[in-house]
Amino acid sequence: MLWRSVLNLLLPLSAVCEELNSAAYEPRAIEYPYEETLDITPLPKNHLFTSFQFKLESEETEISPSSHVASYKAFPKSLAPILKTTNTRELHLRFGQGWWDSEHWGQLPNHGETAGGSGVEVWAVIESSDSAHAFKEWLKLVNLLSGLFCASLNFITEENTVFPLRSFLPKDDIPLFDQSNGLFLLRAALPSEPVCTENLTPFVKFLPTRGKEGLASLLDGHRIFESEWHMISIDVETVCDEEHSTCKYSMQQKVDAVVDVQRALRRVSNPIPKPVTGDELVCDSKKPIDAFQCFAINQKTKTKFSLNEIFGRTIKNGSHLGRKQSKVCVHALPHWNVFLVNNGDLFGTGDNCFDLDTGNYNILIKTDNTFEVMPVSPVPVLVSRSMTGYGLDKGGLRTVFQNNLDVEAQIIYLETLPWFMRIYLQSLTITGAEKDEVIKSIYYQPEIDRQRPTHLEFEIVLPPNSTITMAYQFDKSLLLIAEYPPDANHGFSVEPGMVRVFEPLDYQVRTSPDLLTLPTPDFSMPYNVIIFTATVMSLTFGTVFNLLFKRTVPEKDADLVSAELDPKVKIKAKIQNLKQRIRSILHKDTSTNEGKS
Amino acid sequence: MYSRNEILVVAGSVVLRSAISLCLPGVSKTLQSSIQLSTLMTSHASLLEGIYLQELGLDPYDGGLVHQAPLLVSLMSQLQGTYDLLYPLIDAYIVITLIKLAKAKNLKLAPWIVGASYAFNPIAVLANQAKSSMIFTNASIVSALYYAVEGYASLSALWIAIASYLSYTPVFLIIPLTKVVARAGNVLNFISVLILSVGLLIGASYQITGDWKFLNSTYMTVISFSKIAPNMGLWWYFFTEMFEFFIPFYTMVFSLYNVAFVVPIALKIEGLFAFVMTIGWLNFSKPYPELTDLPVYLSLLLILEPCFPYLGYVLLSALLFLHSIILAPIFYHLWIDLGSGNSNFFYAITLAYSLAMATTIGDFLWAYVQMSYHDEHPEEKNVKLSQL
Repeated sequence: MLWRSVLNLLLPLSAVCEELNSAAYEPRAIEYPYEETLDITPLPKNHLFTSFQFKLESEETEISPSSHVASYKAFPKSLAPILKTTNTRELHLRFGQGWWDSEHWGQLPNHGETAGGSGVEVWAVIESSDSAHAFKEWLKLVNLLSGLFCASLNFITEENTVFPLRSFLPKDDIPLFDQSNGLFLLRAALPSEPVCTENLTPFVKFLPTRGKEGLASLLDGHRIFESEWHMISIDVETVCDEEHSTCKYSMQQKVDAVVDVQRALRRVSNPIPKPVTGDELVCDSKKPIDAFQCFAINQKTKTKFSLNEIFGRTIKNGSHLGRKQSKVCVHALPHWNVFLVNNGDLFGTGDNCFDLDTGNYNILIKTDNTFEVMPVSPVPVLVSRSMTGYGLDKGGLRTVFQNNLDVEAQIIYLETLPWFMRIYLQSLTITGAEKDEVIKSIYYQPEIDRQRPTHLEFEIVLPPNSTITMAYQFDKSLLLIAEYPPDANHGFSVEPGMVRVFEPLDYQVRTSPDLLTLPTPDFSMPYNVIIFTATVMSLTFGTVFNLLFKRTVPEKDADLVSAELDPKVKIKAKIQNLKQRIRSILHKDTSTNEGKS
Repeated sequence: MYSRNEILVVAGSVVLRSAISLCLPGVSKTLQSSIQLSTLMTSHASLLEGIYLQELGLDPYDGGLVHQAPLLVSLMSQLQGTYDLLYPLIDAYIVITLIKLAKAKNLKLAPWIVGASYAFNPIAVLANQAKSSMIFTNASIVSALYYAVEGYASLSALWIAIASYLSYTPVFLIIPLTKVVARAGNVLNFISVLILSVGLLIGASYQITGDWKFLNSTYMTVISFSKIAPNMGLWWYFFTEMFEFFIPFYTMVFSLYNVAFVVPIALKIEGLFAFVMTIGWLNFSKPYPELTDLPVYLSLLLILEPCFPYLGYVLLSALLFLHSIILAPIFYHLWIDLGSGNSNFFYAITLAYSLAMATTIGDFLWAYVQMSYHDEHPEEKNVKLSQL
């Protein structure tokens, strides 16, 4: 029924567009430094890439150590004082989960710049007098953020923080507020941190719309975190105008997610999962198909869905606070039909971009051929890492780099390994090319137990169209019983390695985190161990002590001697002795007293 | 000067060890990762890593992996490629010194038997393949004892200084060694050379590394027991399981326990005997013991031959040693590789091993006590003794 009305509406399309455009020229009541856009891109295999982007800026302040932001419009009031007190010039936060399928989805969004690893990742540029002080500020920063984001950022300590050299270079020059200071870049990751709705809520609260209207009204934690891959990113930078010597914070917040459309739709239509009926099955055409055989693929040729079905909500108005109107763009080939639904009416535009004003909005997407989508951008470099070996006391790490380009790729590979992985750098081997040709330099800072992680930064040149494997060995430590998490045998996450491609293009990609199993003691028997060990020790101590200090006598004389040494006899003798002494002292006292008087 | 048997024993020890590393190179590789034969402090892999880092121009002591003394790392980096011959030669040196020691003591036992007890001790052969750097310490301890017995106070002081420099624990052997030196040599000479050589060794290490970080990695780690890994001793499982709050207290208690009997043994017992018993006690109670310590101790027990008639538990100690040494790698494998056992399996075996050490100490001390009583009272031959 709805579909028919869409067809009817297709004819007066141009008129609608003009109407929408004219709305954009109306004078706007409030103009905060705030912009929001939503980009939707259908991906192969019925997947949908959605990218929410929010840009906001703070008010300008003077460049001086004592300056502070006094008034807040778009920029969150909860964040600015934190940045101010910790002298943070740049802050980057990533909350992510899931696996990005580079083979089908191509490059990571934004050349991987806004993508982080699994779990939580944070890095910041802090202005400070020295690195020790910078580290103190960093601890303060992550602890404050921990409360703000309901994330375990307080678990960031010296055990997992590194000062990266070349992997995270800031894009622009950052001015020093105090010329005697320096800038320090610190970075840490918590790979096993579960990312969930409680991290999204503070994120939405940062926006001037507070998620009540605009694109943020579409953000529902239950749907976002159900996706195949999602990444919440926050980037705050200090942007300065040297001429007027003023600075402001510029913040970009993003929520990227890849949604499996079939799955999301099934959840709406079939809350209790049921097997797909035979006529709805789509069979893999590359495999044998007949009445009895069908290799089902999770893809439908025809599809029709609306954002409402994907996110469970509609967009409540465009944002009325920003400089520009809220914008939704769908990037798809012409055979994908895209409509904006507003109050039951459908609109379409030539470039599939819509400006939103007032009303409940929904986007309707429909196609007859889901197999053809916008061509994905080819991935320049792929990386994957895995654990090798068996046993709980040692193992190896094996990283495979694949260069898909026809030219040499220059990359920096950063690895931060927990201190309980003691790596042997001498065991580093390269297969696929000569070691000296591939690895140009290594920055290596070995771990110190409970004090710092292993920090490795490799400068690598990958030959054109090549696959290089790097491997090395490590030993695992035994921890103290209190240092194991409650599920000790599950293992410890090793944070993702990060590849940054410098030449011939800029690209970032991370490996998936690895699970490291450590030897575990028996958690149930601390008391038993204390008792057993102490028994052996005291037994030996007693024996040796007796052998060294006791009197040796022939066995036949033992009774005789022991009678001599009988405590009763001894005590009697001692008492006698004591009496004698007291008597003599008393006697002396009386005699001296007499002398005085 | 050397009998045919003695030359055969020495040659045999070198040939046996070199043959294994030549014909079965895989054995050495496997044994190097065995935690029974080397610990974190002495493992060959960490020594090689230290050499590698030094060659790269990095400080090996700015990290948690290398615990060997700086001079050893530098020396071994010069001798790269000769290890397969070097380690058998050092064992041969130990064998020769043991033979000379046995000769100096005029034992009823033929000196070559003492040499053979080390040369063909299976643990010594395996330990040699594992290339634990403890072997250097062992060689130094044996030579220190030999020179002390012969009355060369300065040489003895030099060797015990090297042993202490290499692995810290032998520093406590200085006390009984002084008593040995006092019988035939100049104690003043001994002490002055000792202080001088320790000072020189530490100073030279500082010169090589450029800072004092190596003290922390080589000695503080042992003193504070900051690295916990499974080994044959009493410490590791106790501290893994201990509540964090009590760890500093128990580190102190265990450290005191480690040295508790050094002075009493030296005071109460004759020099050589005291020296061997102290080795036994330190091996039993030190934080990072390993099986590599054992062969030298067992061979030195042979030097105490005069008290053999008084020994009571030889079979018990032997069986305890056999039982624990055979089961230790098996139970470790069950825990670490197969997962069909847990840490308690290996812990139980380390307890059995500690008991075996304790029985030898107790047995020999009791034998000594009886022997010295009978020496003082020759008229009371074959009288059973007891203690009060």
